[in-house]
Amino acid sequence: MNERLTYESLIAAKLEQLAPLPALADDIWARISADLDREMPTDESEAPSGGGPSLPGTGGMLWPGLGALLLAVAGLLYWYSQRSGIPVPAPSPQSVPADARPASSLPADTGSPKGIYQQPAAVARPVEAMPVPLADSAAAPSTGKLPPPVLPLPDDSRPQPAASASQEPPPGQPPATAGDKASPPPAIDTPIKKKPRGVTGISNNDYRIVPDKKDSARKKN
Amino acid sequence: MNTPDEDIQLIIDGCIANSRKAQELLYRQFYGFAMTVAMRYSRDEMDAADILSHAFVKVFKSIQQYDAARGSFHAWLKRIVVNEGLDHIKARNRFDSPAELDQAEEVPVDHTVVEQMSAGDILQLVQKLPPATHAVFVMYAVEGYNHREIAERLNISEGTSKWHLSEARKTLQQLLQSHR
Repeated sequence: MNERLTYESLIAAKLEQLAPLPALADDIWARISADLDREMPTDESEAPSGGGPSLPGTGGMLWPGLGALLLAVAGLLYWYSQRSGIPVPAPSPQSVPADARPASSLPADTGSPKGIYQQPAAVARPVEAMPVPLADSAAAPSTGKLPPPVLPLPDDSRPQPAASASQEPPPGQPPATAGDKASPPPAIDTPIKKKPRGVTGISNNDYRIVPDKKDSARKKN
Repeated sequence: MNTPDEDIQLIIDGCIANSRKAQELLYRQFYGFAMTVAMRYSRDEMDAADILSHAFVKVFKSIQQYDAARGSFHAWLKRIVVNEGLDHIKARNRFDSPAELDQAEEVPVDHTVVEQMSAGDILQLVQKLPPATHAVFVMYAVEGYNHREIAERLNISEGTSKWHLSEARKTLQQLLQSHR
C-alpha cells in the first residue's frame, strides 16, 4: 500500500510555502514577451512602443505623404523640363537653316564675360511649344516638327555638337553657325506674325473720321 | 464592482484577444503561484525560470481552450506548469529503472527534522535527488498523483514509478539524517 508518509506531507506543506523569487519576475516576463512577439505578434508590438524609430503623429499618413511628395517632385521636374528644356541633341546644320531659327535663339550678349554665360530659359524651350513661323517651309524637316534650336556657345569649355563643328555644309545650304564661336548667328528678321484681331476686312483707316470738307472751307451763314 | 473571478475572466478575455497588456497582467497575477510549482520540478532558479517562461507562452497560445466551467484557472495553469516541468526533465533524463517494484518501500524518517527545516532547505534537499526520482517523488508526495497516473504521465510502468519513489525515500532519509 502506497500512501503519503507523514514526513512527505510535511515536505509538501513546506514546499507550498516557497517564496516565488520575485526578483526573477521581470526577467522571465521579458523572455515571455520576446517569445510572444516572435510567435504571436500583435499590432501593439509591431508599432514602436519605446525607443523605436517612431514618427509621432504620422502613423498611416507617412506613405501617402511620401507619394504626394514624389508626385509633386515629378510634376515639378516635368514642368521644369518643359520650361527650360531637356538636353536636346544639336541638329545638323543641314536641317536647320539659319534664317529659320526662332528669334529666341539669338546669341547672348557678347559683352558678357566668359564663364558667366547663362543659357536663356526661353532658348531651350522645346520647339513644339514655340509658335515661331517658318520663313522657308521647304527647310522644315519632313516630320513636320521643327528641330531644336542650336545655340551658340561662347564658352570653349562647353561640349561641341558632334556633327556641327567639323562638317562642311553641303552646297546650297547656309553655313553652320552652331559651333561658330566667333560670330553669332544672324538675328532672325522675320517678324512674328500677330494673330489678327477684330473683324476681318476692316483696317485702322476705316475707323478714322475724316470730314468731307474742312470747316474753313464751309460757307458761313 | 467585479468579483475576483470576473476580473480574471476579463483579463483572460484580453489574453484571448492577444493583448500584451492583458497577458502581462495575467502573468503578474499568477507569477507567485506558478513559480512555486515550477520550482518543485527544477534543479535551480534558472531551471525554474525556463520552465515558467515556456509554460506561460503555452498558456497564452492555448488560453482560448480554457473553460471556466470545467475548473479554476489555477488548476488549468498548474497542469500546464507541471507538464512543462516534466517535459523539461524528460528531455534531459531517462526514467528507466534497474528494477520494477510491486510496492514502494516505506523508509522511516524522523519528521521532527523536517518540521524544523525551512521551505528553502527542503527544496534544496529535494533538488539533490536524481532528476527522474525527483520528478516521481514530487508528483507522488507533493502533487498527490498515484502511481498509475504517474506512469501515464511519464510513460513509464507503475513498477518503475514505485522504484523511483523508494529510491527517493531512501535518499531523503540519508540526507535528513545528515542534516541533523
